[in-house]
Amino acid sequence: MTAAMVSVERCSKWYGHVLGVSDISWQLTGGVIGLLGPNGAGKSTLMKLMAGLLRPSRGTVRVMGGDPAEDASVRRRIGYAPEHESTYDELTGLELVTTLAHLAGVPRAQAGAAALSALATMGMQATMNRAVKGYSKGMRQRTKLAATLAHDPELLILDEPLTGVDPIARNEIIAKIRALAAAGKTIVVSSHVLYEIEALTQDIVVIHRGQVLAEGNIFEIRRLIDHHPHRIRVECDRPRELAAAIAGSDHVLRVSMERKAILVDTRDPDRCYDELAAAVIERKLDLRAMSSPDNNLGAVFEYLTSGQGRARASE
Amino acid sequence: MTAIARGLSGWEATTALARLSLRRMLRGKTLWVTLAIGLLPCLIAVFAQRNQSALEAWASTLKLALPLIAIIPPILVATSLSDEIDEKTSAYLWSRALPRWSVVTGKLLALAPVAATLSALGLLLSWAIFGGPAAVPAAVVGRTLLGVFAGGIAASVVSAMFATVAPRFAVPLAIGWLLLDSMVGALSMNLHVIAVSFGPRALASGTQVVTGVISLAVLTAIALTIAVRRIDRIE
Amino acid sequence: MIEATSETPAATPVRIGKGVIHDLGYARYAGERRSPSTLWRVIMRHQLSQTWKTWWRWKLWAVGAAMVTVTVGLVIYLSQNEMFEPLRRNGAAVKLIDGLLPYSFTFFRWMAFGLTMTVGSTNIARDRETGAFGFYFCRPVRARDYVFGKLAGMTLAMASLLVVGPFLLTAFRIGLAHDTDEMLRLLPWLGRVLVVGVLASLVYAALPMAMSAVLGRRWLALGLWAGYWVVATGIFAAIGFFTWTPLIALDPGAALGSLAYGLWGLEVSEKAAQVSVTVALVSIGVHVALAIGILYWRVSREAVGAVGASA
Repeated sequence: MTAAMVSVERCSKWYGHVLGVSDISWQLTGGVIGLLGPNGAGKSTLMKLMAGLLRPSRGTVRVMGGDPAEDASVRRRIGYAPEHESTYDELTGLELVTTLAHLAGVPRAQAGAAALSALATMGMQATMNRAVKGYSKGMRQRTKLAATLAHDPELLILDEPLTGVDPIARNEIIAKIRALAAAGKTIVVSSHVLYEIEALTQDIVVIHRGQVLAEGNIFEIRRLIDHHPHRIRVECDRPRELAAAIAGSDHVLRVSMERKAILVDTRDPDRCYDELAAAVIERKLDLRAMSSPDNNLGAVFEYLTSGQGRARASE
Repeated sequence: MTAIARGLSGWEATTALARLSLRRMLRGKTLWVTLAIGLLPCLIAVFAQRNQSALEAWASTLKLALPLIAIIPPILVATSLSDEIDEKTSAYLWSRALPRWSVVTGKLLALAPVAATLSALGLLLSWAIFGGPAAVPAAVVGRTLLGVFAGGIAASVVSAMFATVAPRFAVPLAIGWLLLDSMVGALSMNLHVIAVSFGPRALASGTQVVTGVISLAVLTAIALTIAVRRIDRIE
Repeated sequence: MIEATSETPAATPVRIGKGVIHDLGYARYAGERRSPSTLWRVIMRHQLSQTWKTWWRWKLWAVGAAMVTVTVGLVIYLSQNEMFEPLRRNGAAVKLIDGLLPYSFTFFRWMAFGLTMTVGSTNIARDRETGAFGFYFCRPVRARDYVFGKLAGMTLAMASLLVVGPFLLTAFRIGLAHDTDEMLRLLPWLGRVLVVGVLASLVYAALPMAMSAVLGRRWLALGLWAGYWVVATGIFAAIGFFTWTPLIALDPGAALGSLAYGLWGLEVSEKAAQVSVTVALVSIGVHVALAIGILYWRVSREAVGAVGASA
């Protein structure tokens, strides 16, 4: 059995009267994990607990077997990119990343080369000798990520790494994160932009009001949310015929018409797909497209975090 | 080639952070503002000898220059430490493989000598304006400068303590405390030994020198202990 | 929800009928808008409400001023016939009941200095640091509205420390008059205390704000203000002491003290530490004018940058 990279056991953290995270138990073995949640859900708190910036008020957090808040050797193997933009603005990008690499444990003689390599990875060679205070938001984000990578950590904790980055740079950074994951690094990344998480990973942890609401594969979680009917859209040449064929089934809750398509709300998507396929074949319909508009992260996120949406306990 | 991170010892982290703090100070406005304040005693030195002997003028200058110990160290040290916490750049430091107390020692290693030097610089230049050893004996000046320098170091450590105890209000608290301290240090009763400003006064006057040195050492040790313990708890 | 009519057969073009957009409740404000020339009042009220928050910004010093008022009042009441050595009139010592009132400004000014340390010397720099200039100047707020509003707010806050207490003490002193003649003779004291209090409020409001505007970082601005008020002014006063007495007025604190004593016809025992009322008024006027000028210049420059620059 693979040892957990991160193990959070009945962990709670409060700031005075404000609850950050509440009784979270969770394990991370590897890969890329997307951390999702509304504002104030506790994502940043959980990330700070993992990075050793905070100590839990109750429970334990173990990263690679050690306590990140107390054990410097654990923090040596973690790369944390905070959400905020503030850095040492008086330094140049190269000086900043070199200093932070050295503070992360890279010997002074090698910190410069490590910084150069990390900045090159993030595409910052051209501007690394300018003062950080003159950088745009996107450049700051890249420099921050370079500082996170420079000491070659095994675990990367990235709090909203794509905030303020232009679309081209966003795609490049997403590609780089994927490459890092492919190289064996474990990455925890949070974002408010759901399609960014979808582009990075299918494994998510949804946090709401300080608690883990759901974890695992996006599609598996969706399947478990049976309070919300699944919606299937079928585009064909004779949608009314198809609608008539499927409307009588007991698992179908609603059928609505679009110009060249039907929308079926069903409690049992597997049966519904089978029956739709059979109806198309039987009536010799010209099937153009079939999709599930709510089998995606946005719908999952909304269903879980809205008042009505709760998944059953994971299997 | 991947550089292997091996973790920093306390001394390595202290010196790395000292270099960082110095670099930031040299590139910012803080040094110039504190230098301007530190040179103010030179103004009085130009005029003080008109109606007084050199020794009396030196004493007048010293009296006006002593409050610099309450102003310059908080601006340099308390600002530097509390800015890390206020601006959240501490996130980079707390997530690195270094002991937290090295942030305090690193900043003090870099900034306390600068603060102490700036606190004493005006007096040194004033001595030159008065005419050097011919006007005021070198032994008197040496003792005074040493006292002000030591007082500046102690005030820097006290400022660091306030930055860890109340990061958001460290500068006004440190200045307010040290100004009050300067009033207590001027008292003739024994209570003055609890004041940072007593040590420089004792060294400058040549009376109760040993008491002054011990007082400075003890106050510095207490403030440093509090600062080092408190920074471990800051989130 | 946009409603459309049902589709037509493929041979004829599709016609879309009328669409409806439903009002979700948001309506742009269409009522009366205040004139831009009155916006300084909004800024002034905002300054006052921000200063009033927490126990340590303003309330602490207000309590201190109240304690000074009560203590000085008690001392005046209990020791009114004692002689007050630090001050003299025509070379002769004055009674405490006559001398302590102008002298008490020294204590009220400590409270005002406290307020400059908690609010006065950091408020403009804080606005610059936090990007509040962008909020102000993307609206029809002019630099002079901002400056006037901030100055008015801080002056009122200072006046609560430097005018209210002395005014009450003066009224109390008038109340201790033995007869109507003495009461009438003392009535001008109310005007004097208002003059000194208002001018002191302006000095303690404008000077730290000017430093706050020059340096964009609040703790640096506070340090510069503290260095100026604690060290530099003492040095300026000493220069005047050693060279030419009117130069003592380079210290605005000494000028305020001289104004108070001069208006009451008193001299400090150390004669050289005082300037005439005229010199004091000129010094205060120059300091305040210079501070407001610097404040306006810096705010005007930063206002343009705050709105025009990208984030």
